[in-house]
Amino acid sequence: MNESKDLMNVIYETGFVIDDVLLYLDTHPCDKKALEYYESYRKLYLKLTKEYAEKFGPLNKTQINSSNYWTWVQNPWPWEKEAC
Amino acid sequence: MYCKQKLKGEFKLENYNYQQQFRRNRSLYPSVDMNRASAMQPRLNYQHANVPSAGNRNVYRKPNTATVNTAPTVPDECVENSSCSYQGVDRLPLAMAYVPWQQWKDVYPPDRALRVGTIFPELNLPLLERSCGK
Repeated sequence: MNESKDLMNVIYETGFVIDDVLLYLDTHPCDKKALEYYESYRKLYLKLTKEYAEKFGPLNKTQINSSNYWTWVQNPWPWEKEAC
Repeated sequence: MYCKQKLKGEFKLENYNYQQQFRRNRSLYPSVDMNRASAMQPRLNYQHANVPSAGNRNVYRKPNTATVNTAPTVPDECVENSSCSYQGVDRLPLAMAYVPWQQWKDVYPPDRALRVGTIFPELNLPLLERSCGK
């Protein structure tokens, strides 16, 4: 459970970094350093979310790749104690 | 820090008067085609009570106090000299607002960025002044 929590935290942090750099890129679309920064965190984000989905279950609606069970309902819902 | 309550109160009041004016003007000019965009412009030369505007010199209108009486009550914190007035800011000269062009510099590591709400150290400006009315 702790490992999933730690990994989720890193995903939150990485996701936030991407949110903020894209605001910068909206006004600085040619900034090479910002583009590099975005690209590195984009890759990291995809890697982390993929890893999370494989280990602990889907994070978004395109990560459900099971033909015999709807894994979306397998994990605790956000309002359940187990999810905290 | 600006007082949100005050701004909100003033805006509502202004809006209210504008609508009142608009309705009155419409009843004075029944033949105007209200679908035309020009007819929808607020009449800027309209004076509140006694002074007739350019278009209706001959129309007598008694001073209208109804607007004042039915105006929404202004919350205490929006009254001049209350704890919520602009105080210091009032005494500064008017100025142009400006936004310097941001340059890419060092950024926070992701954990710190999420905690402070920005990846840019130069934009990490916590507001330390107390909030309005407290």
